[in-house]
Amino acid sequence: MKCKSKEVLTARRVSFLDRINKIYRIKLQRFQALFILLILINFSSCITTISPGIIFNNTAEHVYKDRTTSQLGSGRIMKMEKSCTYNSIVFAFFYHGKVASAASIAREGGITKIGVVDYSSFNILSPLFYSNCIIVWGDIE
Amino acid sequence: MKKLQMILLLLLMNCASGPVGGLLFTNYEYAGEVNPDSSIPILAEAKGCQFSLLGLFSIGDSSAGQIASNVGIRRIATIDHSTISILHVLFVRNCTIITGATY
Repeated sequence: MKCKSKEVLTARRVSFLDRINKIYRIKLQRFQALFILLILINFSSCITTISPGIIFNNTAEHVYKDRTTSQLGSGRIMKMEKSCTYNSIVFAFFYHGKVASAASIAREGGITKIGVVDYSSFNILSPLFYSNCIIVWGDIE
Repeated sequence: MKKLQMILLLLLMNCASGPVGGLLFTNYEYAGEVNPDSSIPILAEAKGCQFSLLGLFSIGDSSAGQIASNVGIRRIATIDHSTISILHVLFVRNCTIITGATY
């Protein structure tokens, strides 16, 4: 009888410890899921925006590539010309969409003096589909 | 492991775009760019903002060219920025403030 009661007690203890372990695991998993989400937010930098949205992003902004070059010119803000790259993580290793320089975009649009260079970003379920555009504003005279 | 995760979180607190960021609340303006052509007078000012919610959804147009075009600024003299963030990523508003001439 004594042996049986001991067995029952140890079984109860084991089941109690199992329960605690399960709860702790669930909490840890939740915390890690939150952590991964925050990491994703910070690393969702396939697009150029300063405040990326993982599920949906449609923004345009003035971005500084580095502090040594100015992205402002003496041209007037008269005409806008845009060039976009489209990409997805599915084929990012094999192909990166159309890339154009500010000078070639200006040339295509007949802009003779560049006024300002901006960027726009669009993504759906980043990085499933994302698009970056270079926007050049300038003078046509 | 938890300590390491917390340290990483603090290191990655760069969602507010300015030089410094508050974890609970951030609200400030900071300088962006000045046109190398210093002859452009500051006659008008305009502002455009983009908004982000929980780092999941972001919309808005804060591109300098579009803001200038909307209000009729023809030549940009300065580009500045302002940011407001609540609880780090809960709500973020990034704005671009431009000044320039209307001719």
